[in-house]
Amino acid sequence: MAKIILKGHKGIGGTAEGEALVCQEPVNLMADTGNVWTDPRDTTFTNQIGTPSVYGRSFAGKVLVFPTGKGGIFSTNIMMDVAEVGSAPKAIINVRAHPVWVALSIVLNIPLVDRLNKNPCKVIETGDWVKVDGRKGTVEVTKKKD
Amino acid sequence: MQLTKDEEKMLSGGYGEGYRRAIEILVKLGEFYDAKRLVPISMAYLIVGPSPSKPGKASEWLNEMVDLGATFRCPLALVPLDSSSFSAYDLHKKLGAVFAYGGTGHPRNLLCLPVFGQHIVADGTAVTHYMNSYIGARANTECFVGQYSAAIVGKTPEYGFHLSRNRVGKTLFDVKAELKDETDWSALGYYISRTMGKNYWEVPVINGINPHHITHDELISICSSIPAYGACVHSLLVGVSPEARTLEEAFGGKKPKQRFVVGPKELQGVYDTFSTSKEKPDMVSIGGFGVNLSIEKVLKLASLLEGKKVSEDFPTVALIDGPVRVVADRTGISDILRAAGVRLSMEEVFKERGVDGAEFFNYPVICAKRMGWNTLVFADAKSCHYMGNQDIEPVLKPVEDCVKIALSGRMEAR
Repeated sequence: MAKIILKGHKGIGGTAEGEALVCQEPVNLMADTGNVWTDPRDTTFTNQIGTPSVYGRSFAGKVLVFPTGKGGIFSTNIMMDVAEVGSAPKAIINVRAHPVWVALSIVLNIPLVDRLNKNPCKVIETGDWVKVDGRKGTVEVTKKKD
Repeated sequence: MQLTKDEEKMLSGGYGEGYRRAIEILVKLGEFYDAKRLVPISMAYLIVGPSPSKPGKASEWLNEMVDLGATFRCPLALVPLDSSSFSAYDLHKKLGAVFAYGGTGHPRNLLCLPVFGQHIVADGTAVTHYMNSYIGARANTECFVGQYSAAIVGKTPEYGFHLSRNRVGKTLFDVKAELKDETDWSALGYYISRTMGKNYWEVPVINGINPHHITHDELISICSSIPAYGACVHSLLVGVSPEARTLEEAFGGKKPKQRFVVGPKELQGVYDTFSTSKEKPDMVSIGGFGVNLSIEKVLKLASLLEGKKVSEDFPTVALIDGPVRVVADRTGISDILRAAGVRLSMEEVFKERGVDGAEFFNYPVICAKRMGWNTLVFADAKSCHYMGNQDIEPVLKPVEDCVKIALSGRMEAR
C-alpha cells in the first residue's frame, strides 16, 4: 500500500498513530461536542450546523483532522477532562492551528502538526491510518482499502 | 526563541517548578508560532471557565501551580468578581490576583484598561477583540493555560496579534446600511463573522460609518458578535480604531484582499437567519449569555416597562450585572423592572424552577437543553449564534420588539 508523506512545521508532542477522523469544518468543543458537558467520555460531535461532516461521530482515540479551531477558550477545560477519562484524540492535524488548540496539546502532550505541504483535510479521509510525528512535523498516511 | 538569562534560569527550574512549568508552556507555544522572544505584559484579564467534571482537571492544574509556589509576576492580574470565580477566591488570592468587575465574556464594565500598544492577556474572544480593536492593546486568544502561564511569568510569546505586521487589515467591509441600535451592530458583526469564514488570522476593516454617530455601547455589541462565528479577535473600524484613523492606515498602505458591501439586505439576512414561525417563545432574554446590558439599555427598558406587566407564560430576563447593576439598584430601576415581572439574572430564573443555576454559568446550550427550552428571543446575535447550533431556535429582535413580545406573550408578526 502506497504511503503519502506530508511535511509541515515543527509541531507539539511526540509520535502517535491511529485511524483518522476528518472534519471539514473548524471545531469549537464548547459548541460542537455538546454531550461532554454531561459525560466527558461522550465525545460525539453533536452540532449539525457547525460540524456536519462528522455529526454523530466520536473523536475518542482517533487522529482528529480539521482545518482550525474557532475560538472556544474553554476547549482546553473540556479536553483536559476528556483526556482524564481516556477519550482524547491520539493526535491532532490542522491546516493552521488555533492558539487554544496548541495550548491544550502542550498541556496534554497530544501530538499536533499543522502548516503541511498539502491540505490534510483533502489528502486524508476518515478511516485512513495516520502516523503523526510532532517533533519532525510530519504525517504519514496509509489510505484505507476500498 | 531567544531567551534572556533570567528566562533561561526560570526554564531550568531556578525559580521553582511552578514557574518552570509556566514558562515551558509559553516557550513551546512561542516556538510553534515562530515567536522570536517573550514580551512583558502590562496586565491580564483572567478566566478559568467551566469544566465538564467537578471540580475538573482545569482547577486541579491551577491548584498544582499554587502548590508549586507560582504567583503572578504580571503587574496587574484581574479575576472577575462573580460567583464562579469567588469559589476559587483563596486560590486566586494566593496567586496574587486583583478582583474586579469585568471580563466574564463581555467587554462592558471593565474596571481596569491597558493603554495603546501594550501587550496583554485579555479573557475571552469578546474582551480580546475590544482590547485589540478599540484600545489598540495587543492580545491573542488564549485559554486558561495560556492566560495563567503568561500572568505567572509576566510575559507572553510575541506572535499573532502582538506583531504589528499581523494587525493590518485584510478584508474590507463597506457598510451601506443604517445601523439603528445595538442589535443592528451585533447583526453587522455577525454578518462580517459569517462572511469571513472562520479564520482566526483575518483582520476585517469596517468602513463607511460616521464615527460621530457611534456609541461606545455599540462597539461593545460588535465586539461580542464578530468573534461569534469564527474567533476573529481583531478588526479595524475606520475613524474609530486607533490603528485605523484612515482607510489607508487600516490596510497599512496595501490593497484589501477582498471587498464586501453590507447593505440593508445583508443586515436583514441576519435577522432572517434567526427567526421563527412559532407563536410563543420559551424565554425572552434582553442581554444574552455573555452580552450584558448597558446603562442606556437599562433606562430604555425601564421606560418601556414602567407600570406594565410581562407575560407569565415564559421568563423575561434582563441581564444586568457589575457596575450597571449597582446603578440600577440604587436608582430604583431594578425595582421598576422587577415590578414588571422581569428577572435580572439567569440565576433567578433557575432558582424559581428549583434548579441550581451556578453550574449553568455561561453554558447557553446546556441551559436551554436542561430547561427544555426551544424558542428563545434575544436582542443580540452572539447569543442567537450559540443557541442556533443545536436544535434550539433563537430569534433576533431589537429591544423594543423584545419588550412587545414579553408584554403580549406572543411573537409579533414580522
